[in-house]
Amino acid sequence: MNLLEFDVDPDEYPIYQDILDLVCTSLSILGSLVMFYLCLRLPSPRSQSVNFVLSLAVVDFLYATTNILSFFEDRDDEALCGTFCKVEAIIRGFSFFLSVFFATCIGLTCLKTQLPNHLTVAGFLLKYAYFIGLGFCTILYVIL
Amino acid sequence: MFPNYIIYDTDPQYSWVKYADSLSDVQKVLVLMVLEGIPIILGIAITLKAYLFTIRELEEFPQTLLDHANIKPYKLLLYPALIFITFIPMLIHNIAMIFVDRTPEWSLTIHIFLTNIVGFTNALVYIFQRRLYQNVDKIEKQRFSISSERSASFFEDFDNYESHSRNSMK
Repeated sequence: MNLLEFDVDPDEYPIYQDILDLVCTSLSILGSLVMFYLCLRLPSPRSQSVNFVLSLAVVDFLYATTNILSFFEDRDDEALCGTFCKVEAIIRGFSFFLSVFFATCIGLTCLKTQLPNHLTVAGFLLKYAYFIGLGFCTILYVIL
Repeated sequence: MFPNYIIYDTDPQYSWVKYADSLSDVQKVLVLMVLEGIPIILGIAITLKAYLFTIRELEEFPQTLLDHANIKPYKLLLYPALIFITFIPMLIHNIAMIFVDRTPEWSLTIHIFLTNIVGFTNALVYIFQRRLYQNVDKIEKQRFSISSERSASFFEDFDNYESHSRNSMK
């Protein structure tokens, strides 16, 4: 079968997309583990930006893990899938949002040294970044 | 704010946020923007602003110093570019899916490829950058008291510049 053939029967095209999904997700897991390992290797105390890179590695790993779990689920078992998929979807939503959030926080740390005081919005965001990120995620994906 | 607007599909292949059937297209776009669009656009805008500011600051360093340390300020634009390349195709594809019954397969393929490889691209950009290793190098050199004339002179100049800029802001 030609995996790069786009004009195929609709029932067949998910096959190559599944393979692409699996390859990309595996690379993602590998990349996030390498990122996690290299950050942990840094001597303590780690800087705030390195802590954010470490957090980014964790949420990327969670995102990739929820992706790869999809390949091992029994799609016919609705009872199991109903609960499991909901938890998986919430973790995926959390990790997606936090991935963008931590990448933004890493950018903001560049401004930190130039902030006139700690009362600015950026300073506040960085100080309470983990609470703010997790709080927003909970509001968006669990409460709403 | 969006009671019962979001449901979680039981299909494991696409077990992410789905829309309730009762929603109109405009409401779906609104939900999509709250969950994905606004965080992505804000993320790109903030990182772009932060790194452009940093580039402007770095350009005030003497060029010889930057060359000596092998720092290329415009490489910092990789970070906002990464968020853009990774998430914007996904956002466009998801918006398109609201309005058309069946999107082209290539758009879904690009969506799957760019979004699911995010951990790998993040690792490439955030870890395999020379600047991070320079920081590691600096910390380790301080820790083990290994003298390196080249790096020592660079960091001395850097510290002088930093203290000078801080004093000038007061």
